Amino acid sequence: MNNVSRNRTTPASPKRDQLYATAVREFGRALDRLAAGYEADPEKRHDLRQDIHLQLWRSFEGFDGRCSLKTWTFRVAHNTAVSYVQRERRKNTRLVGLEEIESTAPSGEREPDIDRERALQQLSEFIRQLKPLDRQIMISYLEEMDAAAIAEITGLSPANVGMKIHRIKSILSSRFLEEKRYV
Amino acid sequence: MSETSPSKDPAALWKTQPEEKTQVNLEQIVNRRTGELYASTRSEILMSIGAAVLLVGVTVLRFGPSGNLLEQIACALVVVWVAVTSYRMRARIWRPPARPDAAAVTGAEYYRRELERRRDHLRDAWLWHGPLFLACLILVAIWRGSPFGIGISIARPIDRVMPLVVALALWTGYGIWRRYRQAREIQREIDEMQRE
Repeated sequence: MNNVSRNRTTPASPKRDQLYATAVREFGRALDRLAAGYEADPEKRHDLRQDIHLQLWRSFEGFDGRCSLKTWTFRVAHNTAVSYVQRERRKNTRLVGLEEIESTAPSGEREPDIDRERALQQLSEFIRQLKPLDRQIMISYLEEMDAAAIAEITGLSPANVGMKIHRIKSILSSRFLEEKRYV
Repeated sequence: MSETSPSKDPAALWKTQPEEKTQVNLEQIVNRRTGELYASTRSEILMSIGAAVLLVGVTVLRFGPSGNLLEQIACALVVVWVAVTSYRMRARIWRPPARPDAAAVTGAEYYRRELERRRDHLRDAWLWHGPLFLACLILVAIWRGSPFGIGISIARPIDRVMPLVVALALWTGYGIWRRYRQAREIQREIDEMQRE
């Protein structure tokens, strides 16, 4: 359940408010996870979530239905998060691409069962070191979107996305043991 | 641990991560952004007025008692300019931000007004930067050959500060351009809000 709250002084625009409410109801949890893929610090992540919600709310004024609500929502959310990453980039270590990770991925060094919390931490850290576009694809993939939907969000061609997904699967399988549910 | 254990299945692991505890409240977000806009506009205005007062002080001290009519006219113009701009901006300094729940004002309206206030502030770029830019151009003109007929005796000392003057002019020009660009961005946001 999403925990976005509003009260009666919230800006009124029936269309925008309705779309925003629907998006939050349907994708609110995914947006929280998306923010977690971009920022590790809880306080900063809260700010990022606020930014994402603000931009999302503002963006619905221009929503014309030419793409799905889901595509629109994730496009706005990713763009906001990417801008955030660019702002924060000066303080962070450099980001890497999937290709680079794939070429340096450990082989045969799989860890045995690790606890869930640590595994999630590893996965999150792994995502956060990716370059923005690769990160978008990785997060969308983990949200179980197909290549066409990811292509629509990122603006890449489905073939290109397919290739990146192939890399992601390879990296995940080498780092996180089994990885077999997704195509 | 089963084969479908979340720790072994990245997507399941990703999708079942703990929920965020802190709430996202749209009203708070809009109010926070409005507050940020108000604070940045106010601090910019206060800094600008501080700089202007300093400029007036220096100008009056340096050129006021000189007895040169041209310098005294320039000095008076600077004082008038500072007085006019300060007068124009007084409301933006002291007016407290309206409460978002004030009568019949929605959060969006409150936010829009703050955007307009910031846009107006940014559009006043020439009020603050213009005279400085003009002063730089005049100094450059004097240095280049005194088209005003007043620079012969001071041309030599100006040689020393000319790189600084040119840098100042470029910086001022860039500042004006940046402010107008920001004003356009804010206007676009206002237009988006008004399309509803």
